Amino acid sequence: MRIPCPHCGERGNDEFVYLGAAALTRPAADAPAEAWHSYVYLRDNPAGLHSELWQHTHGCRRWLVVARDTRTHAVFSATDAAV
Amino acid sequence: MAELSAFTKVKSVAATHGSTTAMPIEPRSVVSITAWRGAAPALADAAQVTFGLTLPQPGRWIEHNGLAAIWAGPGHWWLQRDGRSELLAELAPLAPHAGLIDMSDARAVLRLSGPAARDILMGLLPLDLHPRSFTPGCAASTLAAHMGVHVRQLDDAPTYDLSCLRSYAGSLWRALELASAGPLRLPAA
Amino acid sequence: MSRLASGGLIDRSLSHRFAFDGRLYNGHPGDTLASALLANGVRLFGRSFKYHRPRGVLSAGPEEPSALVELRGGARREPNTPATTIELYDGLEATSQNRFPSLGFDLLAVNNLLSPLLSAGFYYKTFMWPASWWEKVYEPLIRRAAGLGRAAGLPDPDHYDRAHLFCDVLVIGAGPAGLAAALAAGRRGARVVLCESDPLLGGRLLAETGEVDGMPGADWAAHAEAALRDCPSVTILRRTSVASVFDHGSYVAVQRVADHKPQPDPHEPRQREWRIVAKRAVLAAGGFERLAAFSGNDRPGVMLAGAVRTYLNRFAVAPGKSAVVLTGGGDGWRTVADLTRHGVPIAAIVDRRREISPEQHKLAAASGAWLHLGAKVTGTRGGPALWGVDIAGADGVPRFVSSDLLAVAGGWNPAVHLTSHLGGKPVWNEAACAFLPGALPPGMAVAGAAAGTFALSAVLAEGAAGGAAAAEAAGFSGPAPSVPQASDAAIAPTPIWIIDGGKQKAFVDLQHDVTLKDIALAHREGFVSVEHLKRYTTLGMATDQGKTGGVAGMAAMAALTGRGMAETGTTLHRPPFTPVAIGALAGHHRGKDFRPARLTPAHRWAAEQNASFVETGPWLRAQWFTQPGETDWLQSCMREVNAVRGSVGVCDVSTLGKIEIAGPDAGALLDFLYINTFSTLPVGRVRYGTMLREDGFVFDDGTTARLERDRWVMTTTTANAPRVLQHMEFVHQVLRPDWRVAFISVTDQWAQFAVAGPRAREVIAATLDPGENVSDAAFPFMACGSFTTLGGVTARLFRISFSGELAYEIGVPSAYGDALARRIMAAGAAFGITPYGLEALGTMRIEKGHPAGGELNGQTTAIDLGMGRMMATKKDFIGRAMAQRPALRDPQRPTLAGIRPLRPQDRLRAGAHLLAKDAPSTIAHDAGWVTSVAFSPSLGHWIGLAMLTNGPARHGEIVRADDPVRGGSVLVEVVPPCFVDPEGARLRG
Repeated sequence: MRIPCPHCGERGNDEFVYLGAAALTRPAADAPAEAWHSYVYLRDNPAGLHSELWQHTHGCRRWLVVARDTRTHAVFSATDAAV
Repeated sequence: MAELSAFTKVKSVAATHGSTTAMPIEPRSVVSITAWRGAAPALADAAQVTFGLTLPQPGRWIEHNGLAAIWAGPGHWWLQRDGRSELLAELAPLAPHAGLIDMSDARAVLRLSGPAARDILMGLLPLDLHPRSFTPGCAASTLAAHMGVHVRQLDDAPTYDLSCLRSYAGSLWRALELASAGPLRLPAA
Repeated sequence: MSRLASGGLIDRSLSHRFAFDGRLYNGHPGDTLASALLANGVRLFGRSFKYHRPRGVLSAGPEEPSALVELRGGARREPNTPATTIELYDGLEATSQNRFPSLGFDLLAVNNLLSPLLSAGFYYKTFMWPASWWEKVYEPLIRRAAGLGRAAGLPDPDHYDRAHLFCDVLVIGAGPAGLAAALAAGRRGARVVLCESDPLLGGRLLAETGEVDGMPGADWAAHAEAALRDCPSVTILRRTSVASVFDHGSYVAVQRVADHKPQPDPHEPRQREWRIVAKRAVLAAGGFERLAAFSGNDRPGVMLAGAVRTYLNRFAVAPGKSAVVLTGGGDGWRTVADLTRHGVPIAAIVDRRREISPEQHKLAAASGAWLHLGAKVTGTRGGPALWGVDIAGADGVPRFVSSDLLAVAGGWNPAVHLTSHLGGKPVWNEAACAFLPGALPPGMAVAGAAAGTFALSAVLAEGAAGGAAAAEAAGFSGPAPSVPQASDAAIAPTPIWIIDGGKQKAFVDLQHDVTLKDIALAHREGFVSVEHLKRYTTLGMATDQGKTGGVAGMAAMAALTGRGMAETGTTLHRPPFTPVAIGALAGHHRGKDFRPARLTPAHRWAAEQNASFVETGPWLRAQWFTQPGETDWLQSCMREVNAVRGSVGVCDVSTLGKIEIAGPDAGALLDFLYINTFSTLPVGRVRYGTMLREDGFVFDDGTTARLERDRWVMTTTTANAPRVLQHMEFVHQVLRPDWRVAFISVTDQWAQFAVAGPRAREVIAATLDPGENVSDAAFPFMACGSFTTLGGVTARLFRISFSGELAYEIGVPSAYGDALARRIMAAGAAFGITPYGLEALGTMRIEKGHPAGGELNGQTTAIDLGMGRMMATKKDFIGRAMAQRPALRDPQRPTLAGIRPLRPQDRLRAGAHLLAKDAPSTIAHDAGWVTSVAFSPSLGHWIGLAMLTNGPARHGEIVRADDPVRGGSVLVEVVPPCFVDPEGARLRG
């Protein structure tokens, strides 16, 4: 697989580290236990478009949000997670 | 007191391969500079005004008065100069805009130069080093032989500076040795 | 001799001497082993996998199922190598395989008589009973009898290389379509990589007689190659097979750099793995001629009709003295024409059709052959070589023809394999009578025979158009490419799948000995899906992956089920396309180069001190330093511990992760990362901290020092250093991007040493430059600061202790690490300073009850480790919410405790389980486990740390440490987890 890093250009996936679903918001410190449980443990497992966190560990070291089709591996976009 | 080369385990600290040479570049003074969020323009201005240095764009490096600025990531550069100097203190004017960390001894650098340099690196780096894609002034980080490696091209000889974590110096040398043992003879098309 | 008097792409001026099964022969440069042996009249090449039937050469390329040999000898012996792909060189040695004792007389051919036992699925059925016989009787017998060549069994003396290539257009195959594609793309200036598995470019042009642009095909190929050399952006890789297609335009190709030599030149790799990234690809891999399934179709002398033409035209070899041609249509008539032209007598032509064209009648007449229309072959006769063919005419009358070559034109399979590597399913095309590429990998186009186009003029046009389109898509436009001209009529595909009648075995997989009967059996037993059929019968699972016979097997199943080819489908092709040596994938990463190693700046010094090194992750760390007279590690370790506790020692701790943090929000970041508060830490002080994962379990621990107002340095465990940095980057970039903080790993920037023991202060004082003050008042426990050593070199000094002794860690820029180690040794010489390694370090931390690897196992909480009170309550931090879960605060959870054996001489073992003294050894009574043990030189007996249910409340209780795996059950007393100086008087001294 090759991932188009928005900073470094397209690179092989062995330069990257995978974390998991990107569309998660860390709950407030006093959020109910259910919110924390959901944030830490519950994940969708879509067959199709999936928004994922990858770090370009052996490149610019930035955390990226990569939109990918889990069935075909087609990558639609890769953006910096902080931007 | 004597410094010890990062390549101390290597039998000879310079090697030639035909007219292509590899040699360690040390010592150097290196400072990692990371702009605060939104402060990259102010940092660039300060670098320009104070040091006459234009911080390079992604994937590039430049040099001015012996001070090189190497892009390392968005808002992140390495500033470096050959030899030991008080670079961190010298760069203090940039501190309001960025975090500055001394990295002079953190990485080992090899300079590979000569006609076979590009072919040898093709065996090591998963990067497109073809002159259409990678020219003097280009810089990139990647993974090679299971090590994080940074490469920048200096001239059309071609000459490249190749760096890795200092502790990997011996392994980088070995990887280069292996990559150049069987010189890549691309069939002249 | 079967060598033709003239013609062929061989160099008759030179002779190569070679040996097959010990007999010497001569061949020429340009020959393959197969062509050279055929030229010498050799017909028998090997014995088959299961039945040990005699086998010859079926094909002339990498699809070869039968003529597999062991190439070379000794450590370079390479089994299962198709003789059809081995380039002849002077001195080549090869041997036949799977025969005992010799190829001509094979005792195990008795398997052929046992064949009823060896039918499809015999693995699963025949040897089921009695079960006890499997290991001792059946398996050894099968292993002896079945199988292919023998592995060398010695380390491979050659090396394998890897290299990366990036291009605009990758052209796979340099036949007519590939050459036209490469020319079209290269002339537009695109960076083209052209891969051809053969040493020569040209593909079928080298094997056929058709003309291109008014010249013989082989000549045109040479001209095309010259034209490609004139394109500076074209790279030609010959002897290079594209093995696999991966996502996003990634390909792996293997180049046989030196396989055509007895051994590689000095420094030359045997093979090179190319990792190619291409914007576009044109697959021009051609096609493979099919084997038709008929009675006796495996006899040496049965050969694909196209391969016969290859041997005649390219290698100038007559593969027989008298031929029978079996065809279903026009393609076989090319073989008739070429045999006739080269003067090889044709005994009979068997065409499955009842009517043929006038030109074919003329060809038949010119050949002098006995023409059988509407006829079929019902059997072959011969032993190790064919001597006759049984034919049933249209009238049903059986006839016999003497012949030593049966050329079979069963039709062609497009080489669609690479189109399937990303999951694309080939689609049956009725007009082409073949499976054509289905959904293509993104960026790939298919041209020529691989796309089901067989007429040469159309192949050339398709290649040129494909190459131009690929270049266009990669950003290189230009005028429409000139299309090389050829005049040939399209030949209607008239496949032969299965010919019924006859009593002999009809094979659909020659390499795995799968017959039509096996397909029928699989059908009867319900294995009708092609994927089940494949696995049940092993059809297409041999090294040739069924390139010749596979589709006939599918056709046989289609006939049995009556479902038709489209519905039956074909199995998915997976990488690699042709076998790849594991060595080529390993490249240089073998032996001591398996992976890189990280050495500390003082590695040389440690080696001089006789250190034994151990791998911890990529690092090499000193484990202990053996002194003269010491015979085992425990002796060395005890001496080192005693030296530290008694006087002073020095330990290289450079491998611990070090992360320097700068910026006004550094304190906020640390407060967010650690369970305890750091923002209040004064400059010049160090604090121990623990980090959790967001799920509330302990992630890592270490000390963080505040060097300046906005400059901190954190230490992590050696093993977790990369992960902690990634975690911090995640927290900063994703969760708190606005914080003005920057951090980077400085593990390699600083060489760091622990100096520990009652005399540590004196040693540190003597190590630093004169005038530096490290008195307890000036530099108390948990202080940090900047000093100079080695005559002006900046040193970071930390008064922290892992050993429990008065201790310091001193760091200098790495280039000075070696010098600092020597300076410390000199400074400590008066006190007998002793270098100590990981074992002593580990022993002392167990004596002090500091949690490490065994305790920080990802399943323990801060409370479990006795650090519950460290958790700040007034701030948010990573893991805070989840750490509050009631189950994680349950006092019944296993909690850190110390243990010591009731009988001092008893040895403790990590991994033992703890049970109440009299409880039975069952999981229901499990009360925890021993995490770390050491022999304590300070106490004179073994000690251990453990995770024990409700541990802190059980100090003084006697429990049992049960170790059923290694044997032994030891009674231990539960004690507080700190064994030495629990008040901490020494480290504050």
